[in-house]
Amino acid sequence: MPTKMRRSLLGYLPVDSPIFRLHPMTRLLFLLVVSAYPMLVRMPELNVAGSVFMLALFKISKVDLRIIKNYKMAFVNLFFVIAIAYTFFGGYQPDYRVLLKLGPIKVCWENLRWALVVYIQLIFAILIMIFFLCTMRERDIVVGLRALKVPFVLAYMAGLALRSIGLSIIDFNTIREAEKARALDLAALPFTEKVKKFGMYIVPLVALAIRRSDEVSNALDSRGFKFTGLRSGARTDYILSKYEMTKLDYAVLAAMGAFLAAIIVLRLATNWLSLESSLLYKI
Amino acid sequence: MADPVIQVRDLKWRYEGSREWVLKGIDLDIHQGEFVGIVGPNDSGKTTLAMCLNGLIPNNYPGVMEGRVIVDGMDTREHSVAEIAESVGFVFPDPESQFLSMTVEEEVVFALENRELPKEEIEERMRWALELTKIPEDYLEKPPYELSGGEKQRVAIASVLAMRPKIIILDEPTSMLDPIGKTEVIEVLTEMKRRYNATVIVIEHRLEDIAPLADKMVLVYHGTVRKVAPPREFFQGVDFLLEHDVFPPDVMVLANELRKRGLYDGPVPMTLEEAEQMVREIVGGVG
Amino acid sequence: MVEVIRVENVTYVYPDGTVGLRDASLRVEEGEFLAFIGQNGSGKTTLSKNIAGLLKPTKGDVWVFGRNTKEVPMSELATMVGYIFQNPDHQLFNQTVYDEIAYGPRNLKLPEEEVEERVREAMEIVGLDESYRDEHPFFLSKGLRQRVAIASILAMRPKVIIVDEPTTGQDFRQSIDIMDFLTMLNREHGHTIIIITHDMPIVAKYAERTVAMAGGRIILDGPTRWVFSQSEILAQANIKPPQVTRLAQRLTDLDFPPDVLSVEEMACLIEQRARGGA
Repeated sequence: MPTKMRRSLLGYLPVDSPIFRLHPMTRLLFLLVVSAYPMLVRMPELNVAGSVFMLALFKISKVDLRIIKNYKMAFVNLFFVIAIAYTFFGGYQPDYRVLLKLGPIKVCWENLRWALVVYIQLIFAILIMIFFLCTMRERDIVVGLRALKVPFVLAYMAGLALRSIGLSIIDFNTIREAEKARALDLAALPFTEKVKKFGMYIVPLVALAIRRSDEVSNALDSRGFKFTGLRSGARTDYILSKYEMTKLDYAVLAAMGAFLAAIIVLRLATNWLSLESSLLYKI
Repeated sequence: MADPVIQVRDLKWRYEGSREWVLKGIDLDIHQGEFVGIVGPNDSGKTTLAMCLNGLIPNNYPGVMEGRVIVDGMDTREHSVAEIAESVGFVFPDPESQFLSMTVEEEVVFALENRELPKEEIEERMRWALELTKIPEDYLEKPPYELSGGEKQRVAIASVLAMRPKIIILDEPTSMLDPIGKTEVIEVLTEMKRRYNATVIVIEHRLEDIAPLADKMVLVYHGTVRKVAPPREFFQGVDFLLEHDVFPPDVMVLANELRKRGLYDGPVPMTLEEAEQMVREIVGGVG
Repeated sequence: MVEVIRVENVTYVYPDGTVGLRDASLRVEEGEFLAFIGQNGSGKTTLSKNIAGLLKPTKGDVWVFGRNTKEVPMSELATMVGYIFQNPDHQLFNQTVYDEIAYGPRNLKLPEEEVEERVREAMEIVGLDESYRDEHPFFLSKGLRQRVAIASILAMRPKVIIVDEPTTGQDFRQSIDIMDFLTMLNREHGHTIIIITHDMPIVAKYAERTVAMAGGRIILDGPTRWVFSQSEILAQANIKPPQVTRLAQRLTDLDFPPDVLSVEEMACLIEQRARGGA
């Protein structure tokens, strides 16, 4: 008997995943705190550790790691894109160590090092994003934001925006098929043609979105939705009342708070987190 | 006789930017508790009329309105859609775009949260609405993309029922559904008529299922009302309906055909059972 | 008769694992008018998209005019099999009706006079008045947008035309109009027509041959009259024949045949029996 699954923004999560034991607000705050990490910490070793931590979290939360495997090639390509960008735009100082010369282009160690540092930060950030999308549902986001006292309108719009993305992806696939039926197969065309014909996809997508937003706003009005501006007009939070903050939540929040504080202190007061301390700089 | 809960007086409407009047002078009275079917060809103004009855026109659409629409004592020109929504629920044709939230549970309570009702009442109304629309408990957490068209539309009806409105308007609720979905929605309407005494207004093309439920049928053609009558009387004039691009159910067209051939003179059959009865009488009556 | 479509043991599995078609086989000859019926998810759309080449079979082959769809580029297939989608908004993106309809022919690199000719012809066939040429499709009503979408496919003159739900959202007269011109295309211009629909009265009236599907399989394939008489099989597949057919099927004890397709037919049968005829 297969485990019962709950659909998240990007994939499925088994009902017995430990993630569900946490209040959505905790999970939302977790995302914010963990995102701060790669921004504050430059040292690549620590960011790699962060990435490993995220992968462990994936495992604990029973997220299907196949999601990541799908993006393997994208990850590899990303490195090359960044390396190339830094090689071209990284500038050149006379004391740079040149590793390779391709005609007029000098591939320097310093630039590659920068690329590596940024790449590692990015990977970590991407893993966080994927984790977020795999474990949160639209409902959780709205509840989490409401629990943080964000006005309902904003919370709802955030949820709706996410849902629109999903719907647009479905629309996009249908549009692609429909355009194929009009003797156009974009995949078979050279790149420049692809760009020119892109309007074929964008216009119906936008038209559908506009029509849908028309219908959505009619439906909202018909259900008595009063747009009282950003002030949270009184609104019974029936759905919110279904969630409770438990001791586990408070423990996790406390741990996160302490962790964040520690990072900030280390960052401001010491050099431990910065690039200079990294092994890469000792080469 | 109490005042009609909906009064439309010489209603005219023109969308902004259009030179044509979509509604050319509609007069209509609907009484509390009536089940009304509105029929007519596409672009005759049925949807426009429906939107006039809950205030979407003129509040959400720019254009020119003449005449008056009074719904549950409120003039639609002087009240917002949200205010009118306290008395009128509206179900749209597209099950997808009227699904405003991400799970069934949220969807049904959406309107109730707007109204600041206490939690216990919200819970109770939700359960009642789900029971009436035959949506099982384990659907509460389901997102819209796991539901069929018929299920989504039933959730939409449940969301409107939870508001406990005096009036429920359904604009072509089955047009985007497959046959199973259509049947599900008609069953819900039948159940609603039995157990919840609201005024129900349904705009439909497919008359086979609506005809037996309606107390009164209204034919809207090119922006005016051409006929208002209880179903049996309404469907008596089959030729009149065909001239106005409305196609009655097969059994009624059959009865009309038999009348023309001098074989039948009785009331128009509304259902398959009545039609069977009719044929047996005609055929059995000989020899 | 020329065989235009051959579906040979086609199985189709969607990327997410759903099986759309199970070992389906079908042959269509030139000039036929077919209807595919069945519940949502029965495979009728999957089958038609495989025929049009929009989907390529996971197993098995589809041959269109003797050529395998896996080997013909989409741009060419589109001139052989036209597919008209249910929601016109998925296809329309040009600024004027004229450009929209001209799009396909222009993609085929036809000279402008030919394009003009085809647009005019297509607009006439679908009943779009010349005055709509410069209108922006976005602002037209749904029914008109549908006609523009149909015209834009017709302009490519495919010999086989597949229409997904031609009458959904259309009223009685519009449905008749569309079905009448599909019939005209079939009878006067020799197009092979396949409609995918839930509208049983339309199937009864216009389609000579009906293919009923359930669970990805073809469960019935034959003359419409015969298909509608198979009440047990249809019931299992959740397909309801037209009301008048169901009425006749309730009266088999009075010797009414189970395959009555129209009200006129039923009236005649009743008249015969009532006046003591055979």
